[in-house]
Amino acid sequence: MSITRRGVLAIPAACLGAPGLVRGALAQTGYPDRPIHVSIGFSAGSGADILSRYFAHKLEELSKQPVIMENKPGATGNIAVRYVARSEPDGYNILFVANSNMAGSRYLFKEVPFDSLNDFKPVASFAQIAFVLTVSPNSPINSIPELVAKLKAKKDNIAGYTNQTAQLSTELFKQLTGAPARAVGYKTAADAMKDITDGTLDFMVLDGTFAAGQVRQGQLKALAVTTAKRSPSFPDTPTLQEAGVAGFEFAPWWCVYVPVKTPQPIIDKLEGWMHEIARMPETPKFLESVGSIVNDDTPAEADARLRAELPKWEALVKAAGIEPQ
Amino acid sequence: MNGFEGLMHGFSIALEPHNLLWCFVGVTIGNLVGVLPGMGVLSAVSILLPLTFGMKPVAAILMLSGIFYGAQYGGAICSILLNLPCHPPHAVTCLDGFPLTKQGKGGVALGITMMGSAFGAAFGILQMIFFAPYIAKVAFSFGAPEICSLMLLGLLAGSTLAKGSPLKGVAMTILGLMLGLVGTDINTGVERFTFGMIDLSDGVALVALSLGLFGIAEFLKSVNNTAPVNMAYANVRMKDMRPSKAEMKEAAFPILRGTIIGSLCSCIPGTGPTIASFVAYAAEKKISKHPEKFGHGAIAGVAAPETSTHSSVQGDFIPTMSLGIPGDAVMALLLGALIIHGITPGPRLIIEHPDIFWGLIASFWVGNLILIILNVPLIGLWVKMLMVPYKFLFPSALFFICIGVFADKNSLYDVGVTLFFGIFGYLLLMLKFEPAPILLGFVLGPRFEENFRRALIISRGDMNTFVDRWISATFLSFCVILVGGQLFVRLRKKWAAASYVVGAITLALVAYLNMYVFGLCLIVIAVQFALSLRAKKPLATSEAQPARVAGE
Repeated sequence: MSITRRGVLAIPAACLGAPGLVRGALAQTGYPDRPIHVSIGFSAGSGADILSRYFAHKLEELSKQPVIMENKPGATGNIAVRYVARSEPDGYNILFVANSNMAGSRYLFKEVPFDSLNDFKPVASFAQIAFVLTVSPNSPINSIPELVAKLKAKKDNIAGYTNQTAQLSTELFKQLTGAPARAVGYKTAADAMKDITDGTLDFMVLDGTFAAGQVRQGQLKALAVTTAKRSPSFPDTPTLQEAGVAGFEFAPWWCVYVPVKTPQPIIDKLEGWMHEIARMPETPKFLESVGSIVNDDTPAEADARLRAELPKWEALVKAAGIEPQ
Repeated sequence: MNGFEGLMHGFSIALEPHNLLWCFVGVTIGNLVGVLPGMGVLSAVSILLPLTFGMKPVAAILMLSGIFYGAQYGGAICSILLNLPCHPPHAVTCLDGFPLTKQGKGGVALGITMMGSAFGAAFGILQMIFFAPYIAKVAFSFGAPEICSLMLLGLLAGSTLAKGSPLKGVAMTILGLMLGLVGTDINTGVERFTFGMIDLSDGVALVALSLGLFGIAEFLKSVNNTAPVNMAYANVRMKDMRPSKAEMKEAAFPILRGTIIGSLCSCIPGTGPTIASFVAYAAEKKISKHPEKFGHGAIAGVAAPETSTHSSVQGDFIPTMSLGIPGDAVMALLLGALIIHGITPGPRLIIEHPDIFWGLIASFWVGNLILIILNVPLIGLWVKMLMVPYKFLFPSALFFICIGVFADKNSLYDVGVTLFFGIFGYLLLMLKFEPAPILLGFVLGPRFEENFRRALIISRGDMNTFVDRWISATFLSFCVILVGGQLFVRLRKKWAAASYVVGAITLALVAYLNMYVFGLCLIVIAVQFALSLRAKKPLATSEAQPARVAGE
C-alpha cells in the first residue's frame, strides 16, 4: 500500500465533501418535499415582481409544492442576490434575477457581496423585457432619425431614466447616435409621466412593463424598442437597429439562478420545469401583456449570455461616467 | 354612462353576493391589519395578491382595495389608545390621541375618528365619481418645481409640530432631514452615509423609523411605570364614545379642513396619506385659536389628520384608475393586480371596463359602511385592550412590531434599525425631545431635495423656474407669509417693526435676485431658529407644566 501525496491531500477534501454529498443525496430524494422560496430584488407590485409571480405561480403547479415569493428590495436588488448566494444550496432557495445585477453590479459598485460568475449556477433564462424609447404623445417627432436630428439641433436636451438599465440604454443611444442629452433620475416611471407627457423631457427610455399599457392607451408615443427583435407588446414599433441605430441591443433578461453548490439533478429538474412553463401556450400571451418575450434558454446559453454582457456593461458604466459606489 | 347611472351599475356589481363577500373579507382583513402594530397594508396586500390570481378580476380588486382603506380604520386605534403608530399616516394622531386617552377620553377620540373617517372617505369617493378626470388633470400640472415648493411649505408649517420647546422641535426636524439623506442619491447614484452597508443603500425604512421612535421608545419609557394594568384610561363604555355637542363643534371644522387637505394631497402624485395627515395636523395647529392645546389632547388634532388620511386614501385611487399612474406603493400593487388580470388602467378604463371602475366605487360605499358597522361595536373591545396587563401587552406588541417591520421588506436588518431607533427615541424622550418632527423631516425632506434638484436640471439651472410657474409661486408666497406672520406676531414689541422691515427687505431682495430658493430656505430656517431661541424664555412657563404631565 503506498501513500501518495495526492492521496493524503484527498482525505480532508473527501471529509469536507462528504457532508455536502450526503446533503445532496438527501435533497435529491423526493425534491421538492417542502416549499420553494423564490427571492427577487424588487418590491411587490413592481413590473419585475408581476413577471416573477407568474413564473412562481406556474412553478407551483409543476412542482406540486408551494412556491413562496420573497421580495427583498434594496441596493438595486443586490440584497436578494446576496441572500441567495449565502443560502443553503438545496434547491429550495432560488433566485429570479435580471442582468443588471448579474452583469452590471460588479462595475456599478466597489464592493459587491457576491460573485455572479462563481457563486451561482444558471438554471434557465426565461424572459426578456423590451425597454422602449418614448416621447410625448403630442410631440411632432415620429421616428428615431427625426429625434436624433432634433436632439443634435437643440443641444441642451434632457432625458429621464428610472433604473440602471434605462440609464445605460440612454447612454448607449447617445454614444451610437452622437445625440447630446443630459440624464435626470426618477424614482418610478409614474413620477416621470407628467414630465414626459408635457414634453419637459425630450425623450425617455422606459420599462416595457409600465410603458406597454401607456402606449396602448395613447399616453406615450413609442419610437423604438431596445431589443434585437420586435416585441409583440409593441408590434408596430421598430427596434433601434431597424430604426438606424446599428449595433443597439440592450435589454434586461431574467434568469433563474441557484447557489453554485446545488446538486445537478435538482438543477435539471428546475430547468425542465422552466422549459415547460416557457412552452405553455398562455406564457407568451401573459408576457406580452407585461411588455416581455419568452427567452427559453438552456443553462449553457444563459451562461454565455451573461459572459457576453459583461464587457458591454463595463464599457457603458465607464462611458456614462458612473463612479462605482 | 354618466356618474349616477354608472354608480347604479356599480352597485349592482358590488352587491352581487360573490363580490360582496370578497369586499367584506378585504375590509375585515384590512381592519385587522390596521390594528396590528407594524403589519403594513403593503405587506398584507402583497401576501394576499397571489390568492387573487384565481379570482374574478372584479372580486380581486374589490378585496385588495378593501384591505387598503380598511386598514386606515384600524390604524387610528393603536395610535390613540396605545401611542403606537401602526401605520405611518397615523403617527401624528398619537400626538393628541394618546393624551386624550390619558384624560379618559379615548372613546370620544375614537368616536370622532370614526365620524371623520366616514366623512373623509365619503368625500373622497364623491370626488372620484364626479371629478376624477379633472383631478387627474390637476395631478398633471404638478411638476418638480411645484412639488418642491409644496414640500418646503409642508416643512415650514410642520416644524412647529412638536409641543414643548420650539428650538428642540426645529432641531428634531433637522435631524429628520439628515436621516432622510441616508441612502443612494437618485441623480448621481452616490451612496450617502451608508457606511458601506448595502442594507442602508435604500435609506432608512420609514416603517422601522416610525415604529422605533414611537412604538419601542414609548414602551421603554413606560416599562418603568410599574402600574400593572392601565385601569385609569380603560373605563370606556359605548356611550362614552358619543362626543358631546361641544366636542362635535370643536371637531366639525377640522374634519372639513382635513378632508380638503386630504383630497388635495391625493391629487399630487407620490403624496400619499402620510404626508396628507402630517400637513393636515400642521395646518390645523397653525389655524387653531388655541395652538397651545395641541399635544395635550386637542380634539382637532385627532379629527383633522384622520379625516385627511381617509379622504386621501380614497382619492389615491383616482390617478391609479384614471391614468394608470400609481400614487404610492400600495397603488402600484393594485395596478399590478389589474395587469395580471389583463386589464390596463388608464383613461379608457371607465369605458373598456365599466364593471371594474364603477364596481370598485360602489364597493367603496359598501366597504366603508361595513367598516363602520364593524368598528362602532368593536371600539368597546379595542378599548379593553388597555386592560390587558402591560406584561402581556408589551411583549406581544413588540412581537407584532418585529413581524411587521420584517414583512415590509423581508429584512432582518430593518428589525435592528427599529431597535436602534427605539433606544434612540427613548433617549430623546428622556431629554424631552419630541420625535414627531423627525418623521416630518424624514418624509418631506428627501422629496424636497429630489424635486429641487430635478427642477434645476430640467430648467437648466435656472432658479426662476420656482417663481415662473404660478402653482409653485403660490406655495412659495405662502411660505413667505407663514414666516412673515410669525415674525410679526412674535416680534411685535420694540424692534419688531425694524426687524420685520429687514426681513421683508431681505425676502424681497432674494425674490428680486432671481429667487435663490435655497438661499430663501436657509434664511427661513435661520429666522425660525432665531425665533425659537427668543421664544424659549416667554414660553417656558406655559410649556413646562404640560411637559411634566407628559413625562409622568
